[in-house]
Amino acid sequence: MVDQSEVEKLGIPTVTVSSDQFIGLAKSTVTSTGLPDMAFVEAPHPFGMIPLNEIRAKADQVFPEILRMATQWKPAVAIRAASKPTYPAERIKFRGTYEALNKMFYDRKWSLGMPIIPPTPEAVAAMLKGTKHKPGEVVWVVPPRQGQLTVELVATLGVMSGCKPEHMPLLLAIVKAISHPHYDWRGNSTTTAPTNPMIIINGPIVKELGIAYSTGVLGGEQPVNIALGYFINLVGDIVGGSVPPDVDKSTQGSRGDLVAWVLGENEDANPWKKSYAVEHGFKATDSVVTAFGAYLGTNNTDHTSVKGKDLLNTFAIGAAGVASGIYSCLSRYDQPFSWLNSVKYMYFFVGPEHADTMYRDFPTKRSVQEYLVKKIAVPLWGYAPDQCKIPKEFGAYDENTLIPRFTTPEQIHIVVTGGAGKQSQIWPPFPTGMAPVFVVVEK
Amino acid sequence: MEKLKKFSILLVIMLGMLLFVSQLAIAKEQPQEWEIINPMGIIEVKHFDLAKRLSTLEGKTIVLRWNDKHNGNNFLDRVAELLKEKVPSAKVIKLYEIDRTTIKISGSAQESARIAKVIKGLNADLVIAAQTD
Repeated sequence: MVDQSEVEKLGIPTVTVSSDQFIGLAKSTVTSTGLPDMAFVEAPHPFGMIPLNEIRAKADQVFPEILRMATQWKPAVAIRAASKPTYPAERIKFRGTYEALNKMFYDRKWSLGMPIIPPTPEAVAAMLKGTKHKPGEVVWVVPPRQGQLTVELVATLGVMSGCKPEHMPLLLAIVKAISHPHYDWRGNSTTTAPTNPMIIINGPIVKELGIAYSTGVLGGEQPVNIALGYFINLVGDIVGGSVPPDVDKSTQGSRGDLVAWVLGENEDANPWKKSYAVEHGFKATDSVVTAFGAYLGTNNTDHTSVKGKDLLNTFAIGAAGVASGIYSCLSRYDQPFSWLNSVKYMYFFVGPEHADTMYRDFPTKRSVQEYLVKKIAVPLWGYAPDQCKIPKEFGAYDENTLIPRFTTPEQIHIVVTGGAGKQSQIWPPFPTGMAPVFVVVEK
Repeated sequence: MEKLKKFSILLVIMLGMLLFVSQLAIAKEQPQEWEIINPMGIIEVKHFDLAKRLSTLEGKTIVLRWNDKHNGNNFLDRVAELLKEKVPSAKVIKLYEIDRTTIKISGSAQESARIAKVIKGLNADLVIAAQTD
């Protein structure tokens, strides 16, 4: 929709055909780009995954409406509301019980339906003491609603999610990471896929703030990680407006839409010594946030591999299948998303015991990456139609030929996290994300 | 004696009920005055006007734009056929056939602006886009 808005701004009228299931998202996107309205033709869902004769019949069905919208449509007169200041945010008086307050928040789309801690001016003022940034500073205009997220609102949403004043620098770093164009927040927060923010934290801040990095790191009863994850989704849904069913179009979604995934690296248990952040060029004294939009991952439960190679083989077969249907073959890290360059990196959250097993035979992370990049391969028949174009230099192949998903070791990201046990997780990214985003937490 | 026993049982039940009701009263939260901050964030959008609308398609250049979603091109191919039948004087350009760099979900404001400029360069009078899933 943003494309058509840009076309209109250049003085060329547009008609956009949208399926009836996505018209709400399309219209809300238009208004967020500054246009009052747009000429839409609503067609019956779906368009994708239907035979050619059916899609042509849909074109026949809506063609008269396309002609009418092209030549007769007149936009409604836009009423432009007077702009309110972004800071200070509106103060509201409310009389009622805590339960009634929570209901009021949910009814106004100010919460996700779970209890929040009331963001009183006193609580927010206390949160703001955790940063030197001015409360009126706008740190992000959050798509798709284009709500302006000020430092004051970061503090407000931090209070609501259970964060503490000392978390403010981390909250601001997380916002900086997920708002980076490489993350593609708009795509992640409106897609039909079950995508959620994934945040990895490295450095001294992990222990300073009590961020979980060991047993049950992605599970419950990790109050700091959960407060941070809840904060992220409050930002996305309240300020960004990505709420189901009209804007967040997740077909099934996941509970990661409520509490985003936040983990610390178990740096002490990393047999390769260099932490994930140091491996990516940061100092050991830096506290670093890494963010990417994640598809649901899978687990590797290998209890019996003694050799590193055997273990990596079970990792490879797990990685081969994740994000099925959407990934492409021989993906290139340095190229942008297309259906032929989709899901172009992968995260491995390796439990310490699995890491030790790998380390016995693969003394560098690089050697693990090099092995996996060759081994993560899928028979040609496993790729969705039109998503695996094999270059001539690949040589002969048939439908059973194993075609690697990746081409360079850098596409394999390894983070040691979790506690005792023979468990690890494999998480792929949302396809339009260009690359993971790294942000140093301000001191 | 029997009467006294019945009275005692009744008394115990009544006392129990009284205690239960009083406990309920304690548990019931009283309404209070709250002052809270609206967490939604102001929308501050720079407003633009729509392009001038057309009254006819006769003799116009119509660009068809596909965003790479499955079947969008097939839908627009059929629209192109219908346009040629109904408005033969119109020039129909399938953007996705002449500039493959535009076949995408743009993903950024800069890329959207670039695609719009490509369309402008074709002297388009109208764009018909398939935004489908």
